[in-house]
Amino acid sequence: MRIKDLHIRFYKNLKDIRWPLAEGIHYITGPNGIGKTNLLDSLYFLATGKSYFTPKSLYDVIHYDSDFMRIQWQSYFEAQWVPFVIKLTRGQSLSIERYGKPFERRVDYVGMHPVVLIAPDDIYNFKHSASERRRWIDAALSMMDVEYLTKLRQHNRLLRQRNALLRRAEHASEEVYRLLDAYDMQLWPLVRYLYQQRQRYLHALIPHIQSYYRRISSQAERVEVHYQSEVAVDDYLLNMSQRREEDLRFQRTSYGIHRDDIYCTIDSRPMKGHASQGQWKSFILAFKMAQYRYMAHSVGHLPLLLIDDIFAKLDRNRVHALFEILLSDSFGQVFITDTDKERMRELLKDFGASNLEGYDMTMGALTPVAL
Amino acid sequence: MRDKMYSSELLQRAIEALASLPGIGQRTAYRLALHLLNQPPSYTEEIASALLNFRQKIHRCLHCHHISDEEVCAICRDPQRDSGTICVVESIRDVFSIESTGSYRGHYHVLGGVISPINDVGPEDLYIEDLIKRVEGQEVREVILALSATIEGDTTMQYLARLLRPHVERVSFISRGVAFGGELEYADEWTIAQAIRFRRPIEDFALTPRAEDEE
Ligand SMILES: [Zn+2]
Repeated sequence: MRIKDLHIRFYKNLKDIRWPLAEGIHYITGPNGIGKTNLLDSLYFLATGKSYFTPKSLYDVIHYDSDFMRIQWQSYFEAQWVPFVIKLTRGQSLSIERYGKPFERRVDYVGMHPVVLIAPDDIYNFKHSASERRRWIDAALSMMDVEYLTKLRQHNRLLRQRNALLRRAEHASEEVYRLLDAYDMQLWPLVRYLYQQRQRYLHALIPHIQSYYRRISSQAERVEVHYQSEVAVDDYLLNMSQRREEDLRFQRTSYGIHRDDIYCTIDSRPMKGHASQGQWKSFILAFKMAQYRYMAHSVGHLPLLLIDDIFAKLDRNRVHALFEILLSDSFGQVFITDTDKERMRELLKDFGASNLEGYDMTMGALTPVAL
Repeated sequence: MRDKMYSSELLQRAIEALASLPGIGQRTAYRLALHLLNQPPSYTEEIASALLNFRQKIHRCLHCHHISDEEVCAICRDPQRDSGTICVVESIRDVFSIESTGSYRGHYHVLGGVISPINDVGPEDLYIEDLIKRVEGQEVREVILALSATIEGDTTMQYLARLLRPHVERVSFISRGVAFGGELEYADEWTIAQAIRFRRPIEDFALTPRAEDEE
């Protein structure tokens, strides 16, 4: 998959950006606050219909001076260029059009433009938040599999209803138990499916993570990821019914895949407490690259790769290792942002590949940088 | 904010009343009020008394909670209709939709919504107890559950099925191809008629695919 002729109107602080786009790596430098992150975020929005950085509040992506935002571009699908438009007006729902015709359901659009984004906060978020770790898996699986997305939404809705019931119920009664039965019966097949997909996915990532980790860190440690869930799928209903008293007392559902986690080890010891900051950085990069590789294989075309401002956090060796990977393995369009113009010049000189383009971002404009 | 705009408190109040109706904005309300003003007073009287009559005299049917001019609705009173079959729906709009197909000859039961703890709606907020009393009190062979194909509709159907099964020979549900509930009124008549004809026993329930729930 490839995109071109990008035209962004009023996405966050980007008032009017026209960008023809090249085929390979786009390296964008510019001072802080100029909108580099917003540029990558607009590409993430294009792919998913959601912002990576402000996923909760839809209208936050609209420029404060404007009532709407619009992203227009063309995508190469089945040997032809197809025009797309995403529009969002305050107070209205998101509209996504292909050939001027709106998609009726969001799920019909999700997954057409697979994407992986790497951000500076990823390391901190992954290290410290279980819900963030789950989001990395859920977001990737939802992009590759509409059934996963649909079932995840149903599961989350049922869980919200169940928790609302637990809060609402003053005491255990036959009626409350009958309703819990109805929720648990509906949750069960969803839990089974989501559990199996998560487990399968994480397992498939391991060899990719290990190979990328070795290339990025050039160290011999062995990293592993494990899917951690207290759920025993076959005994799900039994466990749910055994915990009802407790659930009613604490007014929330205490058992289920909403508490799943990823457990990471380095040389068979838990990464938390044993891995250095440098090892964490290599691991997070390897994890995201592995997600990219798996997604490319699964959807059958190359996803967009968005790398936001992480070079400042990496040492020179890791930056070079990452560049070698980007230039030797097969990647589609890659977008990298950086504040350090010197680093860009140096990398362009060192790697000088034909599919590497430098850009200078100033307020409201992108200028190609000559080598 | 706008109280000084019309220089008449009476006009102001009429506009506010009209604008409180769904789908009517300030501007439309203003136009309607001026229209009434340009007609003789009897015109407004007729409208007002029609509305007042409608609102004060309309009943909820004692048995099925459908709207009715009398204590018991025309459907429940019709001797030609089969009182041994009850179709459970969310709202009176669903009754109108199914009636428009002309293909259903049984009785109805309007629940008044679906179970949704998020919205603070529990079984006690719906006409569920009445439904159980009905199937206990009269000879009912079949109850057809025709609720929305949503998490909330499905939950309510499962909940009802458990309550009904001891009293009723056959509990069935309408095939999930059709979106029901609020959307029933948009489904075409042929689709609804087919759905009723090809209803299935509730035991198949868990095996059927579910419509999507967009959040
Ligand atoms: Zn009636």
